[in-house]
Amino acid sequence: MTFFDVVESMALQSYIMYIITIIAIVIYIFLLRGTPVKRPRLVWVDKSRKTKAFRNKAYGVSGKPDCIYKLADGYRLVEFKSRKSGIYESDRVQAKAAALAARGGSKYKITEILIQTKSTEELIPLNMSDEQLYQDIKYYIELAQKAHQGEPLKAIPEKRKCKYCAYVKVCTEKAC
Amino acid sequence: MNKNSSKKTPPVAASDVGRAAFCPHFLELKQQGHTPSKQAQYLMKQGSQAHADFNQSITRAKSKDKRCYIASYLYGIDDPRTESLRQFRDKKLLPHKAGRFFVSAYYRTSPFIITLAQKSSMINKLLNTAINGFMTKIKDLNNNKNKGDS
Repeated sequence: MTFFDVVESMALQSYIMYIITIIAIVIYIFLLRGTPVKRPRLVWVDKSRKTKAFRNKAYGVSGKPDCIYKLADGYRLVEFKSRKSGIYESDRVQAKAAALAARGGSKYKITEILIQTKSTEELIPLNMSDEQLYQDIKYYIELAQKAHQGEPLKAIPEKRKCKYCAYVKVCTEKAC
Repeated sequence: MNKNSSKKTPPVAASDVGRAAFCPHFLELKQQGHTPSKQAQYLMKQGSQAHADFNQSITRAKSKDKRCYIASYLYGIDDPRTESLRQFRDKKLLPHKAGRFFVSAYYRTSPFIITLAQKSSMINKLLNTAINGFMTKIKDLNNNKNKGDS
């Protein structure tokens, strides 16, 4: 065996090792690792006042959530509240109305809602049809429609609410 | 469902539906055209600003892909060297198909490589040398480009 034979066999060996490494990497990437877990992807954001609101003509609701994320099996609507305190029923109702608006007025079929304040957050799964979602908040939608038509509406006086109400000075039914 | 009735009336805003749950009389007073209190106006202004900040922050987070696993592992996530590698990825690799394939393969394999590097000091050393060498090449490339520009 000459010196060149040795060199040639070494080169061949390293070439084979190189090929094996490439094949191993390819197998690792495409077969063993599987598909990577999909992270939520931002697909819509309320950039400014000029951003057009979603409108569900069938249920007569319009709404503009803060942002929408695409999930592996649906969409997540995010409603941000700038306050430090907790989440109230009115926040849930507002977020559900916005979800109904987005479902009817866009391709984003909302499957969950995330409500965030500066101190807490709440995830609400929406495993229901548009009709069920509408029925869930129908009472409040009808109240809002009545208000638009100028009908008188009863107050729900509570000290906590009245304290931060924008119309507390002109309200005759306030709690405090 | 009130499909027929909703066609006659304009859609109600989700925020008004929420306010109906807060206090229906609020909506009535709003509809009558009463001016909100000064404190409420101030709070609304602050709320709008907080919303704008929130939306801006998530938009910014979307536009900036902070992934660069190996460099983050070696140098730290906000290190200038990691940032220059990210720039190299965005400007040189991602515009090309082959580059995108490389980046995708890199993202899939790098967590495994990092796990190996954490277990073996030899691999850690090798990784360090390889990335440092790569960093030097990038620096040289940038320097040459700057010289060419000037």
